[in-house]
Amino acid sequence: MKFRPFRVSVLLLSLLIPAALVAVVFFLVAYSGQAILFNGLHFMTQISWNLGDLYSDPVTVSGISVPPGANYGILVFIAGTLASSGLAILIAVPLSVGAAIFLAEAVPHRIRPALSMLVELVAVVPSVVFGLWGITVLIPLIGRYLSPSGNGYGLLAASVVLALMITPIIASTLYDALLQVPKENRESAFALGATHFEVVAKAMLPMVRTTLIGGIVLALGRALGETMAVLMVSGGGINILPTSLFSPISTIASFIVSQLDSAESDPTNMSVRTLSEIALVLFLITLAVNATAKLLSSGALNVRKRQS
Amino acid sequence: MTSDTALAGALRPDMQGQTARVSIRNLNFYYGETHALKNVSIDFPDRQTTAMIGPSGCGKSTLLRVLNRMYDLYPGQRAEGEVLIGGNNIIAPTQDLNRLRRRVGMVFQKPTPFPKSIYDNVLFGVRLHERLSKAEMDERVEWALTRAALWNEVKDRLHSSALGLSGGQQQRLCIARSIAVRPDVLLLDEPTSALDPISTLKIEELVDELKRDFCIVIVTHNMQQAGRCADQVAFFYLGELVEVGPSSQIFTAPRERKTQEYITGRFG
Repeated sequence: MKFRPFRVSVLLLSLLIPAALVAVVFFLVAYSGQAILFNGLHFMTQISWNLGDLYSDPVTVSGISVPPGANYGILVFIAGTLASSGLAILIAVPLSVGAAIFLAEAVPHRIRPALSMLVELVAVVPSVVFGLWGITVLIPLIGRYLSPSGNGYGLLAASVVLALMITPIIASTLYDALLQVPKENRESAFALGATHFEVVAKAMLPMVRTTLIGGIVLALGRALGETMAVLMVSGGGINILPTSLFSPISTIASFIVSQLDSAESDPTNMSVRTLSEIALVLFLITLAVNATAKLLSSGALNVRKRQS
Repeated sequence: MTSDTALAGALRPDMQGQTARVSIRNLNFYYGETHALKNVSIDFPDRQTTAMIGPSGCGKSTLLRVLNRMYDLYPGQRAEGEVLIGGNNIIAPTQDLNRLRRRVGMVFQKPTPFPKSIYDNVLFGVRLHERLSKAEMDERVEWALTRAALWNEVKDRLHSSALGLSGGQQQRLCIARSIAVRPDVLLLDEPTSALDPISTLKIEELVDELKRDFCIVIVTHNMQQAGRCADQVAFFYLGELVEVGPSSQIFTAPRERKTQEYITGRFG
């Protein structure tokens, strides 16, 4: 067979990306292997997180060496992750749907490009900047006006910061989709005597429904994995499930960062391995979310289209 | 009868006795600085089909978009003059656009079904304007789809998506959707330009059928189509109405040389 340098080099390069993904998964599984054996599956349903006594001699539990008293339960962090991301979606969706409709339908043509660029620029603001804004503006506001305890750090603050970060993702996806609605289809709704609101709500939004869902799931993926901004405003709750909007929480990503320092002083290394296992859990969650987004936006799940 | 319509009737003897559903007097239309329609005066008789022909950019589609004020969606477009529908000058700023568009339906070049079921597509306009019971809605859907010659093909799958229909079926669905709100005037903007010959034929037969109930205005690039469906033909050139008359006269004995040249294919 003829040797084709271009094809071979392109093939090798394109294999690099899936190879990196496989390598990450392989590393996570291999590194957390002992932790998976020690923790089993029930660590996902346990509330208590305890690194154990890092300064005493390790004990051996079913053949695995761990610090005495070590117990790893991550339900609190899974709950914190899902609650903050879910709440962020609830806040962000109406906000971004409104913003996208406003941009696509209500803004005069001359200033529209400038405004839509501003929305997209929000998406590139580094997350630590959002975190700082949360600490300096949002936390005092929540503490003074909303939180019964006067403490602003917690679920609500984390959700609001996350919502602001993902709003431009949903808004720009939806805005692009609205602009792509064919002129005739939009005019058809007007031609039937619909008001501007009815045209958008009853004719255009159904046309961009799948794109909107895809955008929301994509944003959810971003919110689930967000680390820095959440770490700065979430209050770092541990060992207790959130009970109200003002409960301190930890998300999986922020918790890994906050625990890494102490975990590294564990002579048995079990703490770091467990953190790696938690990372694997987060990875699986975001992978599932993004796969769903891909399926939705490619229309594979759009049963209504396939009917004939 | 006003003296204007009497005069128009006198000019076209075989149109006499027809009531004009739409009367346009001295209509001028501007896209920004561009003068797209120049002093156009024409009547569209009730229960007849008027075909508007002419080369691209002659203003025929523009005129269509004046009749339901579609141009209002775009800044910089304006009309001056008089367009009377049912005695009202519909280009007056006080005209209620939603009510106007309910009375003046429009079908576009490409089929424009909404991503909903066939049933919901037909009722899209109806639901905006009327509160109907389930039985009344069913009845309206059957009536509109029957009039649009689509009922027999879709009656067993009213609740499946309209996007699953063929192009020709989708265009008939759009016609059903437009007539479901029971308009007085039906505007067709090159409704067959995206369709195959068989679907085109079906739409033409349908237009012939529908003119018994509506005043139909159709824009077409197809001379044969104008000849087949229209009672009255209007020829536009460079924003001016060159000639209007019964289709038999326009195609056999046009008064203007430009018309003659266009229909024989010498330009356009």
